[in-house]
This record gives sequence, structure tokens and C-alpha cells, in this order.
Amino acid sequence: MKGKVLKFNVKTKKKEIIEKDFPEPKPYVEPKGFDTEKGRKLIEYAESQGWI
Amino acid sequence: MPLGGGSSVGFGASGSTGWEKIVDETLIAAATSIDVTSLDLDTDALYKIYLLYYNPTGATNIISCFFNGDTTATNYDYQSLTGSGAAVSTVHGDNAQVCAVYAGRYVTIVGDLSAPVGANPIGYWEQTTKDGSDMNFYLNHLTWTAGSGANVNRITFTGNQANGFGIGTRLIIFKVVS
Repeated sequence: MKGKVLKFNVKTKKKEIIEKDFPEPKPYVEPKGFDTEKGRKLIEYAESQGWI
Repeated sequence: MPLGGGSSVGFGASGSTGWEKIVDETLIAAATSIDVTSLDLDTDALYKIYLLYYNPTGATNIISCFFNGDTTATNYDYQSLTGSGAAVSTVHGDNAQVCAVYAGRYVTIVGDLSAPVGANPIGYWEQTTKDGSDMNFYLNHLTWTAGSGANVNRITFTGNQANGFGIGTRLIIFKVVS
């Protein structure tokens, strides 16, 4: 894919915008979360059953 | 920062130390990447980085931070912790990801970049996102595994979406003055 790049040189303070090719993007995969509220209820239930 | 002689440790005279802003750039056109050169982390010791970011695209933009032009993803390693509502998640990846921002979102990404002498440069990133009425956070530690002992002289933020750094995105970097 084509995209712009803002280039900035800290020493010279010179900036320029160029266009270049980038790799095609891979789709974002949402990380699987652990639900702490459900986890708390699970622990409470396990305790009430004498499992832990 | 000059150190005191003998057994004492001193600080520089008042006014001679602190933070100096070395980059403050706001995008007037959307870009895929922001590339900052002529840095000198060995001399400057620590960079404080603020990326006030807007994702104008229709997809989640995964933002990576590369050092010294090394864009080989597997030369990096990150570990993240996300909090969203009651859910927490952690991810480890062999790439240079510092955050992933949903379509159309405005977020603030704050980073500290340092390099212990002879060790790998380490970045610590913190992203805060307002998601509806909720606040979410994302913490990320990134290291350049192939960069042991290297002096970081270039930082490149690159998204995986074309021109995924929207107009108004602002990058501010401070260095330590010693």
C-alpha cells in the first residue's frame, strides 16, 4: 500500500513529506480478555461449594 | 547530570537541568508513518514521548515503533496489558507493536524510551482511550531485541493502515538536559 511519511530531523529541524510503499496490512486480532467480574463470581461459587 | 565528587551525589545548578522539547510536529496531512532522525539516546539518556493520535481510517490501526531504521518486526518483542471494563488481557508478540487504535478513535499515547548502558533499548508505552463513557487503558513494554548496545538515533512510528495517522495527530518528544 502507498502512504505518506512525515520525516523530521531533530538537529536541522528540517521536515519533509514523502510517499513510499508499505507492506499490506494484516487484520487486527482482538486479544481474548479474562472477565474479572465473572472470575470473582466463579471463585465465590467454588468457595460456596467447598471446592476451594 | 554531573555527579558530585567523593561519596556524595549532586545535581546540576538550578536551571541547567530538566526537560527540553526537541520535537513538536502536528500533521497537516494524513500519514502512514512519522520518522524522527538525528536523535542521540546515549547522550540524551531518556526520551519522553507524547503521541496525541487520531485514527481517521475505517479499521484498527496497529502502530509499531522501529529504531534506527530496523523495520524487521521479529527484531522486536513486546508484552502488553489491557484493561477494558471488567476484562483484562495480556499479549506477547515478537514484533514492534506499541498499540492498536480502533477506527475513528482519538487517544493519547505516552512513552518513555531509555537504554541502559550496553543493553537493549526499552520503550514503555501507556495508552488511554475513552470508549463510550468508559476509560480503557493499554500498557506496553517494547524492546529492540536486535539492538543490544545500539545508540538509538532514529524513531519511526508506522501504522499498518494507509495514512492511518490523521490530520491533527501531534508528536511531542522531550529529552533530558544535563
